[in-house]
Amino acid sequence: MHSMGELDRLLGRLIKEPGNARLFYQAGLMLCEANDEENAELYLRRAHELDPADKKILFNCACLLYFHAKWRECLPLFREFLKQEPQNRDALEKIRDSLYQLGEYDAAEKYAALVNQTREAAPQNER
Amino acid sequence: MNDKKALSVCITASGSPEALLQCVKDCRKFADEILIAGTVDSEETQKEAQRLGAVFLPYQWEGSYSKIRNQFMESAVGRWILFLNSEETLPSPFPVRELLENPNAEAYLVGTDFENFPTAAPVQSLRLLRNREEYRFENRSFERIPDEKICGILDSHLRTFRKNSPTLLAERERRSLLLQEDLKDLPQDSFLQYMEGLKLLNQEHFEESVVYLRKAVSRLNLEALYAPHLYQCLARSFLRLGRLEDARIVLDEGMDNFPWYTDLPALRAKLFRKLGQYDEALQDLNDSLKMAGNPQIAVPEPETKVPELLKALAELYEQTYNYKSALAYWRRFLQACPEQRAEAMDRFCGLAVKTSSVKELKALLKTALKKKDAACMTRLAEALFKHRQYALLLANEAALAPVLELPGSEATGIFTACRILQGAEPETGDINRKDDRILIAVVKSCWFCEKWQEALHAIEEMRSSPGCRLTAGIFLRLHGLLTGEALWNDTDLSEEESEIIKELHDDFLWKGQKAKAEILLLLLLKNRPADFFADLAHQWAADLPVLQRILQSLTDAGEKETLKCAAAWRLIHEGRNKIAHQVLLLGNSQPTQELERILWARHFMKELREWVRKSDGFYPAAHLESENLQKAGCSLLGFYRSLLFPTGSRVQTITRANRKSASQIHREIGEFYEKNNQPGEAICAYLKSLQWEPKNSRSLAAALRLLEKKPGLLTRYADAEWFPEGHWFFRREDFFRFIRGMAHLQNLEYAEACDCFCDEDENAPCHEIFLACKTGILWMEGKGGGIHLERKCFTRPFSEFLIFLCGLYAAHCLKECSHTILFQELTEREIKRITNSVKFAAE
Repeated sequence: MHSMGELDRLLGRLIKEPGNARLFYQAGLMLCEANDEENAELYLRRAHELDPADKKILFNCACLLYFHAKWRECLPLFREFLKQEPQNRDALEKIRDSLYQLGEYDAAEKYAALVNQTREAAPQNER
Repeated sequence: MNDKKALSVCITASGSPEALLQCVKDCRKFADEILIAGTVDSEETQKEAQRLGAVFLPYQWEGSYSKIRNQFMESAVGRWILFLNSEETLPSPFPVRELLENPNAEAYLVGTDFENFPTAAPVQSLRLLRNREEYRFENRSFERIPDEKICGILDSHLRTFRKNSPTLLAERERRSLLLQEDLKDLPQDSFLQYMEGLKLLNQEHFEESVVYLRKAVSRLNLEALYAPHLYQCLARSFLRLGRLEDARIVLDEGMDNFPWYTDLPALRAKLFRKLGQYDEALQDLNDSLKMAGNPQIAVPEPETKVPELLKALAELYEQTYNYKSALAYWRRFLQACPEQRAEAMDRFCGLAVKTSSVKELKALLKTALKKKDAACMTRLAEALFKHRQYALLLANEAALAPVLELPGSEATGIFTACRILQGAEPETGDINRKDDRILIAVVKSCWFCEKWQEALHAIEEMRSSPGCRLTAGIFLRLHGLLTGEALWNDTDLSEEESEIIKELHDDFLWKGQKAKAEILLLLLLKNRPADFFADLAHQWAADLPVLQRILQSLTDAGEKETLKCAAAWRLIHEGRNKIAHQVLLLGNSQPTQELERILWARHFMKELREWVRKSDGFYPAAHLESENLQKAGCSLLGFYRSLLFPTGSRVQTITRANRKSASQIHREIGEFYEKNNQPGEAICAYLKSLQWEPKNSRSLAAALRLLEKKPGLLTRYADAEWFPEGHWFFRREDFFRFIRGMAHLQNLEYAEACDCFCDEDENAPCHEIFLACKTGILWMEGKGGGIHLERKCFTRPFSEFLIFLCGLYAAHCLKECSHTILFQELTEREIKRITNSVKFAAE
């Protein structure tokens, strides 16, 4: 658990380095831990804007949007992430569940089938 | 010391020479050395014992039992010593030698079961121990090695048996006198106080025993071997004195100190039952059962064993009118304790007959037949005969007849008696008139048919049978009473008379001959029918004047309450609500809350349905059938199959899924997510299910349950991007008002719920549901009768939803009662009944 002092220090560094995606990312995670999910989302989105290729930032940003029930918005991020890790079951499941919740059952079914395929391919990773 | 000798058995000789020789013979099987001290009258016996290898020690009674033991210890050469009395009977085998191999054991308890003697102190069982110089016994009377001098005591789980004999009585007398002397020397000694208290408890001098046991507790060393037993004894004395609060305090303290000692919670359960605190009793019995079921390493081992606990649980469930559970526990008791099967089978059969559970009887009979256990089948046949299961017995005559072991009668007699009691004409040829059972059956069957003269002849015949003479005398007097030729003037019935009259009374009721049964009932009521008034109440439940007469014959308020409960249970069970209500109002006491609630729930639902019907509205059947159950679309079905059946689904599953409604499919998806620990997704799925079918009670319950745990999720979901499915809710806000309203209703927050159901768009389909909700709330508030709605309001969705909602409410109110064990089965059955009746058919 990070202290508020740490967060303050990090925000201080951000003023000096406004283009540092990792700093925004770390601040986002800290805010998440502090249950300030709204601001966490802002920081993670900014981190993603600054470094759209960073897998970790991409995935965490997508997850946060998903947990905020922003299913439509999280979808492109997860899809982007899948380009880098096409077999990532977490991402596939999140897309499947987002589509189900949006009521897009045809598309959800396709992703459910993909999840099943990855499960068959790597059953040892069964949760 | 000679290392070759492992075990010396030291026998105190008393009683008969035969017993001594038998004891020596038994001990030869496991002892390396047998020493005898005590009085042996015959020289011949002494010689014979010596021939068997026993050695006699010089013996002179010096006024102390400890001295004898210590003298034995001085002489014995075995590494271990076992003390026995010559009158003890040892079980065969007596595997004592294997105990000696345990390097961690210093001593073992070897218990004795005394004939007709309630309780022996565990300290007296310390009689298998290592032969060490430092172990010497103290006290004149009850020999004991002080606890601080010996540790590593284990329970051998071996027990001997000692019959009552003049020698034993003399020994007890002597020990009692010596104890007084010990107490004079050491008046503050906790152990001696305990032994004196225990002696008085066994003599049923409870007041006096409490004085000693209390003193013993006040000076108790909690490490002492007798400590947990002392608490048990003191609590028992208090219980017998009716000092329940004192008993409670002692048991609480004892359980704090010795949580592993099963006897204490088992005893506290008895106390709770007396206090009517049945839930607490159940908790204690279950705790005891758990402990007793595990291998006991506790020393001393508690006296309460699994069978006793099973019996106590069966009785508790019976007392609280949970007959199914009681039957289950009697069944377990039967398996665990075959020695007491006669009583258990009688209770089991009685209960099964009372609850019309013939299936249970058939199952029991099937098991007995399968096991081919003659004793078991005999007991069962007797129990079935006693409880008038003649048809069942006759149906199994071929299998039973060859194996029954009925004393004093032929096996076929019981079947002949069955036939006669069922109405068959007794044939002279096939009746063995010496069989008492048949003779009694003949008299009864004559009384059933009012063949008075024949009955009289049969009674005369009974008088010539030695086994029936007493019964014949009573029958003769009853004959006079039944024919109106004589009166029964005695007020007090003997136990035997009571039993016979009750049995005959039950026979007449079984035959449907109430008038004759009532004559006998009056006789029974002249005595205080304490033993069977609950039974009488059950039998006469529907006859209010008779019930009132039984009630008046009782003086104790608790008994009156039990009588009302027994009668009301039967009536409610049989759905006779009106008379059940009248029964509950009999006497001055407050009606039992649980039963009253069941009757209220029935009345509430009935009134509601009547109101709907009278308003010319759609009148839903017992199972609601919704016309709006929409089948799931192909896309949803495809997703459902991929999600729930990842490895592919069989044709059957596909066909079944195709028949499911969209609401069901979403519910199952919700259950999948919940199992997968994804509560957010689960809530979403349950809500989708409710959008399709707002009456899906399982989805509603699951959604409200999850939302209660994670209330923030509803707001998050409300703000999310989604479109309502189904045709009930066109606007998202309507749906969320519906959900919030239902959540308020669940917490019985009527005003808040009503607010949620207002301001809806009158043209929206959900208007009917909202109107039903508002109407339902008025019903819940008791204002149902005064509502006037236009006829056009009574649409099918309105009526269905109203009844659904009020059914949930009634079930909810009943659930509030079902946390207590009293009438739990009846309450749960009612909840199930109501819930089923308001479910829609496809759910």
